[in-house]
Amino acid sequence: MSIREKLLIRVVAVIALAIITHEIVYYLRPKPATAQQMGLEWLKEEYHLPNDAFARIKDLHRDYFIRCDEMCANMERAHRPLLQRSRTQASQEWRMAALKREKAICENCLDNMVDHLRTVASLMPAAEGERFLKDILPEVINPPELQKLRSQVIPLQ
Amino acid sequence: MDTPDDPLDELLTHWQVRDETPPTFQREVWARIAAQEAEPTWKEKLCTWLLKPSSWLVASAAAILIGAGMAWLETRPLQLTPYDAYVRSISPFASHHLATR
Repeated sequence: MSIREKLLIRVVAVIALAIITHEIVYYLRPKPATAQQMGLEWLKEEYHLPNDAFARIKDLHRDYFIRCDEMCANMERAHRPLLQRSRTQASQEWRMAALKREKAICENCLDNMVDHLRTVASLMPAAEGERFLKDILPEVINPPELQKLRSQVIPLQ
Repeated sequence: MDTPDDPLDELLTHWQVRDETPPTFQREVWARIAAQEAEPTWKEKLCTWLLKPSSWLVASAAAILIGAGMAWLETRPLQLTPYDAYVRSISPFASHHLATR
């Protein structure tokens, strides 16, 4: 066996060892809670949700999380052409049209989120629902990205 | 011992050996020795090191540490408050939102 073959075998063996160790440790370690799981747990404890209300709210969130992923993807798709064109010379009209499209998508996502939060609040005991909206809405209603877009898009006269 | 006439005999009688070495002889010898003992390149050093049994142990230990370390990093609990976790999970803007806070 040549020196080159010996070296190659050793390198492959070392890489395989690293992968096997990774898989074993990953399998044995407890899996951390996702942001969605942590958030739902917090929601249940913080707003003292009864089990049946929590079950309905959980179902509502499951559907919403899928829509939320789609909204993120839509916003990403709307923003990409602007990033690409910023490197080249884009006309002012084209840039403004792209910004308007992105803003419209972001406004739609925001409306969807607010609708979802209001539906969640309606499933909570009345006082808790009100407190929930008071806690959450100020945090999410004015995302910096949308504020920036609102300031960039010149309203039609 | 009688040998038959050979033309080589005559040539050998005329052959003279010079007993002087060229002036650069010593320098050339040392240059050849130095060339043989030249410092190995980094590739040669690396290959030599990798083929040693001790390096095999070091490389294996490093592979185990890297593999386990990466798995540990991937299974770390999120460093978020439950409130931030909820906001992140429901807001399509949240990944940027939380990063700028």
